[in-house]
Amino acid sequence: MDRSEQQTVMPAYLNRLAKQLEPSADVVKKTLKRKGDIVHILYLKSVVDMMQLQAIVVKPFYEISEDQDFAEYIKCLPYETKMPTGDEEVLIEITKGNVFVMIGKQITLLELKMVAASAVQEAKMEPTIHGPQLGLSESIETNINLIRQRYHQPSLIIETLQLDECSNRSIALFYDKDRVKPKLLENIKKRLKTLDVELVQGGADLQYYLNNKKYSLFPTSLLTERPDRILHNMTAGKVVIMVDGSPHAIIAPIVFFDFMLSMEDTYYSFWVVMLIRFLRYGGLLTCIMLPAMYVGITSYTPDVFRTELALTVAASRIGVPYPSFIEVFFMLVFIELLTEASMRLPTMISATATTVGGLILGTAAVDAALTSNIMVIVVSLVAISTFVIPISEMSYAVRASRFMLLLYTTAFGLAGLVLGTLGLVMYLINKDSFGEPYLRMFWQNRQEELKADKG
Amino acid sequence: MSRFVYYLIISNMVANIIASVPRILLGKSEGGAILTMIMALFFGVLINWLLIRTFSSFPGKSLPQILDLYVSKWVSLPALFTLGVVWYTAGLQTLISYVDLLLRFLTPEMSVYTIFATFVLVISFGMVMQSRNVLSTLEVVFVMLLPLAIYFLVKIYFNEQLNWDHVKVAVMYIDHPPNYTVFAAASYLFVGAFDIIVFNSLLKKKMVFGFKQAAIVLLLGTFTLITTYFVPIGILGFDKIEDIIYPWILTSDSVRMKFGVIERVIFIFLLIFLAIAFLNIMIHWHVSFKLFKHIFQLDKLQSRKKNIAKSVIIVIFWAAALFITIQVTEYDLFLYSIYFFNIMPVIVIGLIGILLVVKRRAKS
Repeated sequence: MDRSEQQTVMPAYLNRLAKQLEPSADVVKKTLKRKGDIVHILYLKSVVDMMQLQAIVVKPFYEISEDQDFAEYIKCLPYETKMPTGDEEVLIEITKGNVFVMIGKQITLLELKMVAASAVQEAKMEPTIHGPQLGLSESIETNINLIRQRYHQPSLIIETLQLDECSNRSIALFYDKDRVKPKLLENIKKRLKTLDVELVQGGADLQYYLNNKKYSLFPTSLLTERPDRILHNMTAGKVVIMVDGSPHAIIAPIVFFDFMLSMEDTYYSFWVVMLIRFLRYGGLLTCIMLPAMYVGITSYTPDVFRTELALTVAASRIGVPYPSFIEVFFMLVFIELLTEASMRLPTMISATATTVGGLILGTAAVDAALTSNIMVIVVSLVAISTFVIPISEMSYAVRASRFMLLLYTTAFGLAGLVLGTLGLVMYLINKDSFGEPYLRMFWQNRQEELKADKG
Repeated sequence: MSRFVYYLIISNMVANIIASVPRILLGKSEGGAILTMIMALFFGVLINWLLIRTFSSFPGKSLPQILDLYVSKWVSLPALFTLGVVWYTAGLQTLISYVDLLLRFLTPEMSVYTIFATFVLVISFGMVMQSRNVLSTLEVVFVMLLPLAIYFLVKIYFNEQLNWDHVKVAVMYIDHPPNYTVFAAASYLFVGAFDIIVFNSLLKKKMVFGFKQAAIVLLLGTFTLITTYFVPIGILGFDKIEDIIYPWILTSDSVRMKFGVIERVIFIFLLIFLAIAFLNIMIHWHVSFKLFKHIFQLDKLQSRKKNIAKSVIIVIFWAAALFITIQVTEYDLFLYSIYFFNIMPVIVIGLIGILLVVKRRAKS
């Protein structure tokens, strides 16, 4: 058998790899043959950019003059990715969209991937009037590009890791090496490495797994789709984690006040921002405390209100056949159902649902004396002020905690309202996010105080 | 001085406005209350000065840790035990007063047990929290209450019914001889800083108590004492003030917000002070909890490989508290409070004495 014929046959290694990928329809193994030179390539055609492959590998192979070395050319290509050790890892790289090129004994992986969902999406969850209108994309490369474009610092480190779960998802860690705390970074990396989960689909569930606690109400890391929020937090020394295929980034660690910050706040003048913040915290207090306060005042201590108001409330409750807490529970559950339904439905139908639910049922419930007018106002106010909270996870947590406070007040009256609120504050203070205190106030120097605590 | 020490001082001063202190002070309004209060003011600053001065030699160490280092167990354990009991009693006194208040003014139809139960969950949580978080809670709650408290003070001081003539009449009694119980009650307002016997383990910076700090404590004390004593006299009149059981409740109930959603200021008062009383109980019991935990070495108490020390102490604390709350009548509460205040200066001086001895030993 002469030498050229021997090389035409697929090398055993390539065959072995190809066999493991089969019988997928998109596996392509090709042999490019020219006088004296033979190149074997293996790739999945569904994830590889064919045009690029043609322009970068196939065409030059036939155009390159005979005295030049094609193997050397391939080696010098900027598309080369690091060759991992072990068959399994090489296969994972191929499924990610790398082209396996084998020239004689030299093997190379070329990253010529084609990502369908690389378009940058509009920021839907956290819209702002000013500030960037676009969020992240679902491709991690595009996201890295987005961040790099906005932050030109050599100290910006982007580490990509591969999760050890069944989809071998790649994730990227972003941080500013000069600002991040080494201990924190170590902590987060350790958690990522010790993650024991079946499947990670995106930012939201990874965040939940990172949290490490099964029963937890308030989020301990923030999920965002805004590049400006990512940078804002990264310059504060936080770590950003992105998952391939998810348009959300995880920011950790986080404090309570970060959830109450809309990126809009950085784009307005001081007093406007103060006013908006005041409204926002007012909304937070309203939606946590108002239902409980209604129960506490109407059922336990009506004389808190001035006489006229107390009478108005009492008058509107005439004919309501049950105590106020049942009324509040009934209406709150109703409004939660409405919110949940309008969120899950397509936009066209959800308008109908809100009209039927909110307007028609609300009026009918009052007419039927199942609830009082004032209760309807209270519940609408609560529902509206829930939406003032900029980050949706926090507003979910607040919605849940409102029920607990309601229970506590139902049992203990207005004193229960005050103590329950304090209990909630204590719960938040006692919480930590990746070792950093969750709710705390700092005077002067934050770092100094934290250091003093740990000693 | 760390800002947390000021919070501790303020929380103790404010929390005692609702309890028996104003009643004791006003009870001697035709006796030597004013002169005694002035004496107590300086005594209060003095004990704070001594306390901070001695503790500044041991930055980042709590009292149990210090005593372990320099004193034999035969001295330290009884001393710590006494302190634990005293701090527990301090919290309990506020607790019972507030249960009583709520029962009388906020929710009269509720049973004592229900009102008592309101506190159990939240305070137990506060007791077993990390000390660092207890201090943070104090700060956050203070910031939340600040606007309301300022409003309340402004409302009280700029009230038309506040008749300064009565205050002038009260000042005329300045030449009467002092009284020990009044002195003890007034100086009790200043013992807030003594909570650092536990919290000092978090205050790593060396504290200074110079002229500025003394002036701040003096001003805080003066303001609190003047408000506690003269505002009820100004609003309720001087003549029968000594017979009123809850002077401050009546005072705040005589102020109304003409155009407010809530008309009677008393509800704002009750709810602010509920929060502050809660903080006060939580801090005192947290200190007590830590002391007992140290004395009985409860970290070693295991049951099925779980540390049950926390639960044991909590159960004992609440069982005792419930028993005493049910037993004690309003009259008893006042009487026992007086006993408690009377003992307090002795305890404080004893504690400072031990600290001074320890400081000298540490130096040599």
